[in-house]
Amino acid sequence: MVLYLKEFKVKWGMVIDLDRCTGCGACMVACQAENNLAPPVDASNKRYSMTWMLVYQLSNKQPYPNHDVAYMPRPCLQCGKPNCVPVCPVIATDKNQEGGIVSMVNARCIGCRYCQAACPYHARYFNWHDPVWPEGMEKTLTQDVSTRPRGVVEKCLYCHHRFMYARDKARIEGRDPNALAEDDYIPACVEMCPTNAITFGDLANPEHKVHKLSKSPYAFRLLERLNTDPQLYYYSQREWVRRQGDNFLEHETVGGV
Amino acid sequence: MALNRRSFLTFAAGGVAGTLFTPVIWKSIDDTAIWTQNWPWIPRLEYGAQAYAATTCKLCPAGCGLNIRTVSGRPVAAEGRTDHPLSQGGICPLGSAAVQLLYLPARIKGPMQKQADGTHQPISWDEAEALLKEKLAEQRGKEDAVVCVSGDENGTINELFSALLGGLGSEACYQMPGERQVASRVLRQGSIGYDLENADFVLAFGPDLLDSWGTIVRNKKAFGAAHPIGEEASAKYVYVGPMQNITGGAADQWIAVAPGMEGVLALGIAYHLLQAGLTAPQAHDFVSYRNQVINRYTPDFVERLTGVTPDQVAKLAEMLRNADRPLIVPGSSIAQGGGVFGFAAALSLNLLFNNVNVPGGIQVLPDLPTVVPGAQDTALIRARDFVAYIQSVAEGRTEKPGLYMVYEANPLFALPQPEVTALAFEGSYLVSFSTFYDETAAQADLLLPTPTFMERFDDVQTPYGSGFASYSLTRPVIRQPIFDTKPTGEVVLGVAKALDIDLGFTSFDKVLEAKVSALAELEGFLVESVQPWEARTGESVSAVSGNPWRTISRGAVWASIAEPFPTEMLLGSTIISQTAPPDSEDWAFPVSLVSMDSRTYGSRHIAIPPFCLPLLHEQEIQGDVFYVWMNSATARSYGLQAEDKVQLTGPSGSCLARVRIFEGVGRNMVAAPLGFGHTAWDKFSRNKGDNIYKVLTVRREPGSNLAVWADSRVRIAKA
Amino acid sequence: MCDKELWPEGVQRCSLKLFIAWLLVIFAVMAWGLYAAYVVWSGGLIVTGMDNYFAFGLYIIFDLAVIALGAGAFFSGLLYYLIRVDGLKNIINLAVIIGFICYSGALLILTLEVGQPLRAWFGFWHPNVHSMLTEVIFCITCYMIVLTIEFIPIILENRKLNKVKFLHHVAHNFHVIMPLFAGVGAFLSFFHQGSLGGMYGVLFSRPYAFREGFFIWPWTFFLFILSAVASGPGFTMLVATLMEKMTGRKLVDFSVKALMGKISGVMLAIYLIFKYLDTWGWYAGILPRSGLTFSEMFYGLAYGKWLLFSELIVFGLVPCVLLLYSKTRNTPWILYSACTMVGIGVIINRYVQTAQTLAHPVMPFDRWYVYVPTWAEWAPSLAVVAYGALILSLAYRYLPVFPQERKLNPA
Repeated sequence: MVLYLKEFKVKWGMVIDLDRCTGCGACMVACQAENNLAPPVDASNKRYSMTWMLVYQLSNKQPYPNHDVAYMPRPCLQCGKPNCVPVCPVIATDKNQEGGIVSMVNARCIGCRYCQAACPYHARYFNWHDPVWPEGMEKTLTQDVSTRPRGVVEKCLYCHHRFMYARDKARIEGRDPNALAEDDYIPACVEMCPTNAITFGDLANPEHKVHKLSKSPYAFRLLERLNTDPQLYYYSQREWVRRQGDNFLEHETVGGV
Repeated sequence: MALNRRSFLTFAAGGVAGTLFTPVIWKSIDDTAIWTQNWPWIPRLEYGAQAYAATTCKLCPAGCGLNIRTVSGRPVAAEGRTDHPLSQGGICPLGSAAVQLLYLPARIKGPMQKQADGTHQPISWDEAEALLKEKLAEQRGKEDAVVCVSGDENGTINELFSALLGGLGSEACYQMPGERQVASRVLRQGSIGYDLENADFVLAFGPDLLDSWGTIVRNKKAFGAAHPIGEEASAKYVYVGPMQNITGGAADQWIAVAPGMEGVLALGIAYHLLQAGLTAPQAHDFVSYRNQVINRYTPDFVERLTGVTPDQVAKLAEMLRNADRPLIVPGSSIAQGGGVFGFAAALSLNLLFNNVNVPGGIQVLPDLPTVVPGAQDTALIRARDFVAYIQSVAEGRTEKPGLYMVYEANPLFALPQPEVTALAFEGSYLVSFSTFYDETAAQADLLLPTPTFMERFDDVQTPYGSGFASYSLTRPVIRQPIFDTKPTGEVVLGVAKALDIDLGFTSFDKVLEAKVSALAELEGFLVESVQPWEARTGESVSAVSGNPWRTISRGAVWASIAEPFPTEMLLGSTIISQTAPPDSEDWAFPVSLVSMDSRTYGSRHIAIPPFCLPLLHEQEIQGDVFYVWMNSATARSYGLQAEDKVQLTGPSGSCLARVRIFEGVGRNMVAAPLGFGHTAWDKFSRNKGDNIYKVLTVRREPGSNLAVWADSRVRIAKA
Repeated sequence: MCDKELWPEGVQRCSLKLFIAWLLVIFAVMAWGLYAAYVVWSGGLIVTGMDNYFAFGLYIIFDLAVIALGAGAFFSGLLYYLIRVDGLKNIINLAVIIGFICYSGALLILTLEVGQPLRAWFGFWHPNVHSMLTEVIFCITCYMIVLTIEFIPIILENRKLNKVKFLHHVAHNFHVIMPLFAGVGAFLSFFHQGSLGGMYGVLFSRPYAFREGFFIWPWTFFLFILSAVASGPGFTMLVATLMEKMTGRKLVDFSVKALMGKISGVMLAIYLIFKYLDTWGWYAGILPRSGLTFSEMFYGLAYGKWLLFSELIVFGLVPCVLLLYSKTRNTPWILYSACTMVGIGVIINRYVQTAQTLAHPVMPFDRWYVYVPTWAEWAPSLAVVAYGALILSLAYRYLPVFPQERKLNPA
């Protein structure tokens, strides 16, 4: 089942510091504005609401006063071995561009939702109905991300258009577009985060901060045991937080220090 | 040839088969790929030149810098501004959702007048302003017959209001309640700042630093910078509060304390510090403070009131003593309705560390000079207690004014016991300058909508909580206001002129220009590469040069770290002894209500924006019902389970909610979010949840006589 | 008015009035389904009970179930035309028609299920060869064509049509090449039945469904084939029995039914052996490797352990035993009950493979949700059942579906 896999020289990835994330949700709002999501009238049913970036609340499940919380922002994890890609019958989603971002071509998608079924992170969202903007609010659409009709799946693309802008800029400035520096390309959620909880960069590039951070004993990936090989790391010095990053049998210990 | 059945069928079959050999069918199928991308009811992108406009956010008092991205002049996204010291590139959820507010259905499209049947009908600006003039003229000369309440804590526009009121013979200029009111009881001139960036130990007694208190984004930036990923934290944050709110959850440590007892814990810590020999010789009330603390706030006493063990208290004291630059931040968890006792008690710890006007300490910050002739002193307005005033009017102890003007505030929703506000407003002429059709606008006799901050000039002077004095401008990022709105500053100047009151300016821009010029009176600088907190530790900055209006109106931020005047330092022993909470409580309402605020829920005058709805957790709102939080032990003792409907009843109102079990809430407490339960606005926020302000209860703090409500209590029962 | 001359020769049918009344009932159900289809096509899938957790719902479960139960067509064809199990000739027509109904019905439902039905052809134009679903799309479509070809001679045998010389010859020639189509059909069916199972087995990120396997095919690939061939013949037999009960006429000799039951029983036995092995491998291998326990995979009533027990024992082992013993198999009511149980077992399997796979919260901090289909999912599903009844009613009335009917019902 690994026939389709490609190796990349550049792997854009995040390291999200869960000890620093306060769960405010600024990243979620920034993402909606950046990617032209329609404003929901009711988002209380979490199984319908669209949040390419979603902040989960984690609890250590201890009674008062030993309770502790952590917040886990979850964009698309851009898996190295995405389960969503091989299952798509029409190649509407793929992982074949240098950088390793799992693409999603909404115009190709037939809406079978098999990719959604394949994603254990619930990072994929289906348009159950047509998007609606209140009168005039459609004027706030950016020019970077197409609107999507009902019946197609969408997901976080690490603000791929920003990646394209960064490459263009590098070309114009005579730099190598395949060797972007850390600050050249930053997704909206990373940029807006008020506590700088998200570090972004090329995981494969030792000069980028994420490279070193991803190797920290406190770094872990979500559901690593499933072998999806995400291009997104979490970081927490709290053992109980790391333990919630995957399923563990009772006797098993969690990695880290 | 006759067309019989057979030949018809042959023809039809042949036709179908023949069509398959033409491109028609294949082309049609191919075309579906194009149609399905271009349904006419889905808006398409419009392309154009992209630009950024730097401005300052006015959605809450925190004063963050915003970069509004525009495409062909259309604002499309709000981003952070790395050059703004109050936000440093960060942004809060509310600010992030700012652009979409331009087109919120709740926007008031033009001036309106209330009709006999209670509906609002559009009128022209000429009519509207004439009406305002007429109504003001009716009240002219009567003492305090015109009341103005402003929800803008930091704007120069307040000077216009107070000068106008002065011209009409009224001094009744108020601010919506906030931390400033309490702070002003401790420091009469200037305001208190907190140099978080330079502290290496931040102990917060109540304030929700990381979600709703003061300069939120700046606080978060400081917190983030102090906790660099993969490295040792450079500052430890400890939160003292009844519940594990956002700050409690993110801080390095959360000390659970009984509601309203943060001050007692602070003095319990002071006990240890004094025992250890710390002094504050510069404060001439040190001796009485010391006696009071040592005699009263013994470990046992503190444990009984706060629920914090003597061990923990001692440990906290030790952590403070071990820190190089500890900073103790007082405040209320909802940034309003707290008492003087808790504030003064927590603040006093700073003095024991001689922690005033030094890096990483509390700062005395100047009020920026007023520029509108006849405007009241900022400190004077700040100290006024609007809630106490409203209560007094509602109870008939104070004469009802003839006219209320409400600016950037929603008192009929966001004051404790809104029904009391309604009583106080009843029968008076109500003028709302609101941008949105909020609860106050819905009741107003005259609506004079001001454009959003993205469509007007405005300013932000030193927000509360900031560690330095600052000034930055808000400016239009869109060529034309979207609706038939008029900046309130212009309306006030216009009506003043019509009433022959000379406010000294012809337009609001000129007021702001004068303000910028007046900054020269203070020792300040424009923030470029050196941040104000870096300047405080000795980095050099150059004085303002060139044309400050030009630079500041393009987004530059003016800041000052100069000590404005010598301040007499007091530990506040008198006020602490007068306002100390009673040992025993005598309440008919057994459960403490811990209200929560968050920029996710909007702000005091902005309802939750559409883009913030997905941020609400599954157990924050379901459909139209919101959740109140309690721990499992509390729930059990009231026979409640998760998802049960529960009624919260205060002395003067009640709320309906569902139960969320959250172990980060103390025993016998219920935590509830503010900002839900709007009844006006639009479909994005209307009728979602219930308004907790209804169950907040105002009491007067003994000694200070300040109206307080942060420590309200309720009854809870399964509904 | 009478349509007697269209009936097959020498058989009795109900009055046209009664027949039309029956059709009206069918049309009413179909109209309800069509209305649901209109609502879904015009407003989107928001009206269904599916959501971002339950990407698949009743539509898929229904499709998987009817495709499994429709497997009688290819398997009977395989046995009859290629392996020459002669007794099956008396039920092969019915098996083909049921297959046709099940597959065309499933395809109709699929037009609702996909969010962009107008783009459905992308599956052929932009196929992803790695996707099990691509295999399903191709095989099902091709097999649908095969079924149509297999259905055509049955239609042409209508008394009136068969009088047309050309059509008579066409029908005859079709019969001659039928073994070829039976072979092609069997090949295609093996693959798409398998790929439907493979669709779940390849979900390596869904521990409930994930299975290792042979080369590119996960074990579920083979299990789906086996369970389909175990339930399909029985289902065909049950439909024949139902038609007998409704029409009051003997249509198929009991020995043929018992033969179908025997085929089901044998295939079920083979299936169960592998299913038990597979379940054990899942329990002892995949789950602990994923850090999960057996109990963590079940929740409440909708996804309880009782489903596994029912599937494997009550609706698995029990009917298997009943069908393998000739004594029980040859008792009509036991035969019918056992085949019904096999069908239920397969439906449970398709349900848990779909719904429980998606319901299981893989992230430790997530939680179980329960999927409840709405009317907009039930209505088209029932409409497809009604559509099946329509086709069967017309076929029974006008086509010589049952070769034994005249003999079994002497005038």
